[in-house]
Amino acid sequence: MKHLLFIFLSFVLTTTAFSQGAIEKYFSKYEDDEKFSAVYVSPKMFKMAAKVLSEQENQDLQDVVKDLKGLRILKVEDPTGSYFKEARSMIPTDEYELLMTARDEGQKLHFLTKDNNDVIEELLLFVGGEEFVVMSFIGKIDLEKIAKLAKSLDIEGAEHLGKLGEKN
Amino acid sequence: MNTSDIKILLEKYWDCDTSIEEELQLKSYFSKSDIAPELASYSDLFSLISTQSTLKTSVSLPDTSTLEIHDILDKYWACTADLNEEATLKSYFAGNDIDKSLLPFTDLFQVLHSESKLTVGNIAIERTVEDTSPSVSKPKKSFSIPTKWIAVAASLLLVSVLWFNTDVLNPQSETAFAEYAVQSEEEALEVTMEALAFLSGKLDKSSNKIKNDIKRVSNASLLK
Repeated sequence: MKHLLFIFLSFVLTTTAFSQGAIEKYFSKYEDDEKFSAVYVSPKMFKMAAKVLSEQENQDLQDVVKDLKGLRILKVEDPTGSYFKEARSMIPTDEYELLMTARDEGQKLHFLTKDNNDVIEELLLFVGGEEFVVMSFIGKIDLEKIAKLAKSLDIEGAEHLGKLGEKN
Repeated sequence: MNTSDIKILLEKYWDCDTSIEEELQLKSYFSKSDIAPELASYSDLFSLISTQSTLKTSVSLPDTSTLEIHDILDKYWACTADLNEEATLKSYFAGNDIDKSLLPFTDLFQVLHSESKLTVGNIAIERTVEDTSPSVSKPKKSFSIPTKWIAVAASLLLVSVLWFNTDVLNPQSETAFAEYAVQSEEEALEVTMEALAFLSGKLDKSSNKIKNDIKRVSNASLLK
């Protein structure tokens, strides 16, 4: 009986571990794909960036960045929408909660969050359209603070992601 | 019985058709003294037969039970006697009416019989046929995995889980996505600001749109 319990727990642990890594596996799958533009900002780099940012006056931006621990972005041309569909199908619904969906200027927007005790630990943004973009923000995410940034940064829209293509 | 009847019986006797009663009548006739003269020649023959019939056989054939015991003994030595047959042997040799041909085995079976009666303190335990029936319960079939194999399997499972999910257990691992990680804080800040600007713009726009939609629905005359 103990053996059966052990095997069952091992199975649960294994399956849970694999399901937790769904988004990581998705990024790993396409990180070497030449068609994709990819960016990864590590926790160490965020700490360094926060120091540089502290010299600036934008307090709203400082408040958001200091709580971030990781950022991953993938971008690819997706005229058929197949990448968008594939990525959305890989996200476990029991782990990520759909925050909202919207349509803006021909783009499909899906916001998903992973919460822990009412604190958002990860925010996923899927953008579908002529271009497919997926962003994963890891850390302590405050949606109100992020929404405020739209005015303080005085920038808006997908044109600001253009530089991502220069990375690869 | 007159002479003619005796002659008829004699004819049947020579033809071996006489019954035992008729032969007894012939013997009885020829054992007497008033035998007809023409039958006197057969007198010696029948008196001889009558004498022989009274002789006791010097060789006594074994009776049926003795033969049966011999058969069982043969099976006993061949180890093919069943429990009932062994019990028959024990009870036979425990008795007093043992055939001479079986006397050499008496001591052996009496010893076996006495050994089957065990005494523990004041409690006498006598093994019976029922007692000697196979009473050993069949061992339960059980399936058990050796502990060391479980440990090996658990270790392999743990290693494989850790191997395939290193980036899961440590999502911020610097080795993961290292190939496309930004290399300077200025670049990190620039990318982060762009991403946040994009995110905040879309988030703000989407949430405002949702708020407006909710306001429009709540102001709809249909719901008032």
